[in-house]
Amino acid sequence: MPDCASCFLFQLESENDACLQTNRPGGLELTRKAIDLCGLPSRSSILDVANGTGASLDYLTKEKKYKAVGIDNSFQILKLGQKVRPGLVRIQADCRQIPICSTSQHCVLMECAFALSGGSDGALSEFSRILIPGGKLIISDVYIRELIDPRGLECLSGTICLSGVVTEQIVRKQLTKFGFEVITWQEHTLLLKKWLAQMVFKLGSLDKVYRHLAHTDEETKTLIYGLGHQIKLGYYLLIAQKT
Amino acid sequence: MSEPHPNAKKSQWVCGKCGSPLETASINVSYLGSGYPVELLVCKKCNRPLVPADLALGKMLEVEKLMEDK
Repeated sequence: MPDCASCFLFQLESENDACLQTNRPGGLELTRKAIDLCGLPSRSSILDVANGTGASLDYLTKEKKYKAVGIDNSFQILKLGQKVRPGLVRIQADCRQIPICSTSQHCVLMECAFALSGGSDGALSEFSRILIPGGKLIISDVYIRELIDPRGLECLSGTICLSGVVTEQIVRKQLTKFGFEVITWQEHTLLLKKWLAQMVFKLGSLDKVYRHLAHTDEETKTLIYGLGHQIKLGYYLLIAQKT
Repeated sequence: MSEPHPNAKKSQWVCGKCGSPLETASINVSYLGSGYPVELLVCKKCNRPLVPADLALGKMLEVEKLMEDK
């Protein structure tokens, strides 16, 4: 899983720009919506996976009064989070090896990082292990909304954080495989578009935004063509229940 | 907020409606319910901003295409 601390887009967040406080489509508003949909009792245990600087973790702990713990792979991000949002419980860990007891969590939250983690079997296996039966898994992330030309998939493989992006059908299959039942799937592509539009105004053009998502100039060109002609990306919020 | 537009730094422009000189101000450009802050030359009397062609045909056009899936 790439270290978001090395990403230029993350550095923008560090500038405390209001629109990038949570550095993802929908921001904290979408988090609130997801948590409300789950209807968790107070003092529920929640694990915020890839918690970044801890905006959601702060909300879950201080506003919602949940027993919330955040994990992130990046020491740099955790260190920054400790500085800007102190007093929260954070662990440096990989989502494929979570240092938390089995059957101990009422909810797992993963925002804008499922594809980044490879949407991997390892992560879902861990989420299933730590959740209680009936526990909720909340995921919001980018997905392939429309695949116009399958050759366009190549444009994603050269990116830093979009290489694991898949279709809704594949996300659902992955969840079913690990014993989850999707109880809510919401389409939030407009939030992705709004986020990208904010970045266009911030950085100057869509091409410049894409440049920060790819490793090289050549991969950026492929990405620009692919997202312009072969693939349409979308954004979703899902809530799944451990069966 | 984005960088001030180059035209926003010098104010040789006057308002076509009232003749007042334009001044730099932060404007919230909105489209389909989303707002994006940008510094533009504005008539303080009429509240009308000057939208330079490169902004209209650059960022604004890109955002329009993005939002409308074009």
